[in-house]
Amino acid sequence: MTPNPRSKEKGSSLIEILVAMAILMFLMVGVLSMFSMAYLMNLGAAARTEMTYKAQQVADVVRYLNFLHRSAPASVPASINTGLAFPLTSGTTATITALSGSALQFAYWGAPNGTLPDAAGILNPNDLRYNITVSVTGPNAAGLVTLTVAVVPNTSTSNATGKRYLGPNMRWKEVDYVTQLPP
Amino acid sequence: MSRSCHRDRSDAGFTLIEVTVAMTVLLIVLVLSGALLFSMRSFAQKQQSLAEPRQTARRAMNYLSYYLRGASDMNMADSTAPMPNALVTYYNLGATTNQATYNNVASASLADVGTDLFTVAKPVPGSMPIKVAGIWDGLTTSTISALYSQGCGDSNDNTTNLAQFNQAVGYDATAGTSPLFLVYDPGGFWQYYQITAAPTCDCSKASAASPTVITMTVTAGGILGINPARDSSPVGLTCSDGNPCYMTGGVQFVTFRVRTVGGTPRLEQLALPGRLFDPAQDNPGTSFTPLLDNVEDLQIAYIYGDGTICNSSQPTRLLSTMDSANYPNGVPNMRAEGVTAATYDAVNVRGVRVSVVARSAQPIAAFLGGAGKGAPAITPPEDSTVAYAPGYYHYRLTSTIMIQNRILGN
Repeated sequence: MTPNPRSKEKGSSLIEILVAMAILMFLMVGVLSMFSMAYLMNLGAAARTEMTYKAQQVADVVRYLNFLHRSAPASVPASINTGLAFPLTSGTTATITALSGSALQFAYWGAPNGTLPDAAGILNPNDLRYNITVSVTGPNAAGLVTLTVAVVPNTSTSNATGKRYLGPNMRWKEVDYVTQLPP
Repeated sequence: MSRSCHRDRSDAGFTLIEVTVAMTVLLIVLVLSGALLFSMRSFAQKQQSLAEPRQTARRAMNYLSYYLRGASDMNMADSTAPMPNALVTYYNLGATTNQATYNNVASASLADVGTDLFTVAKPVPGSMPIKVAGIWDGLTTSTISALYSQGCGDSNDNTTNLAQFNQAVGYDATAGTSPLFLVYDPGGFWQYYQITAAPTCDCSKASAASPTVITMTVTAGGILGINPARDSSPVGLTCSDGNPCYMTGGVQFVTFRVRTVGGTPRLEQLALPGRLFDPAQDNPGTSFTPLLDNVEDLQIAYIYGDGTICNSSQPTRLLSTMDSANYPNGVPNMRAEGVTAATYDAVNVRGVRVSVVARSAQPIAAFLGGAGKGAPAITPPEDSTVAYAPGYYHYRLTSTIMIQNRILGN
């Protein structure tokens, strides 16, 4: 007896289709969320790059101030404006992004103005997505002090109303820039 | 009933309701996926627009830093003599005094209006001070000799020694010339020379009382007649066996500017052996090499040893207003031999603060909010008068760069 061929042509039921589509949707959501994660990772990497450059900018300015101290001490901006006292001494730590209201507490790092026409011009209090701390150790055996500029993303503690970096685990990222200077 | 007319229940297709439900679910999935993909595309494009100017500015700053940090007076006798070379703001081309550094360019043929154009000098790699002797007659062609015998060895190897010397001064055998080089006397005065014929070598003279191992034909001021900017006639160099002159070769002059070509602003560089920026032919000329597209602004502020930073955004720090008599063009001046430098002359510059403003390659798309959406503050701390192109993301990078030759030991 020849079997009825139509018995093998049974289609999928609606339930089967819906289950398959649900699985497909979960897979798509998973794949697409990877795109989203990649985007956030890129943002995090860009933020760390920016923090590195910012640390280098600060280190360059401190090098200049240290040169001023060594060549023309009277010309060094007051520590009340820079947060740093020269000569740099071991154990010194200053958070140069500290705010006084909506302005920088150490105005030297902000834009030049009538009071501080020779300001460094590298920090913008309205776009402060990071917290910068300068610390000094040494001198070492070679007679050089070690300057560490640590940059960490802004937090609600360091700047309650400030902008934030985006990216995974940005709150726990830190960039340290180290250089050595003559005392 | 025929078999073909039989409709088994298992053969039944989807009902209209089933298909409608399935398509509705599919539509919802597609809409959600499409929205997510569209937002991802927006994010990606925004991220690219944000990253481009940052990367451009950083590349530009890295390149500029190399030349600015390495700029050198190449005057080992007295690096503070009032004839600086590291920053070339003026120079003499024959009888004409040319400006080689500009603050806020006013002529669009030289560079984009409002940007700065600047020239620095650095030694070619491998150059070193070499003791020389000869007839020093100011600005005429001479033959001078150099005590350079490091390559002679024990066998008086003239070929090796000459090859090393040519490398040290950057002599180009094909062109038959060297870059300009400095010859300076014990008092710190100097002028440019250029080798204009193949040097010769005789290592056997290395031990003579007045050794003349390398003999070369040189032209004071080079073929083009380039000399340090002077207010009066040069006094010439004072050399003798007891107080020898030295040569440091050769000088690499580099000029940077920002100029818009075909709607795209770009950072350009001029670096030719034996030649300096000449406003008479580099307006715009064909000698500049494009470095980076989408650089809109280049600003320089001068950092002095007394802590003053001139040409910043503060009117009280503009050279042209601080001392209009000394600095009518708003750039540091250069003095004649023996003339006391003024406070803000080029010789007293210890570093520069550089700001580069770069922009995204494409205008901001409308679906990202259009012009200015999300663009960070870009006002440089220098006295820029550039009107930045609307509709682009911009990014400013400012860096404090000390001229290492001017802050030795720091």
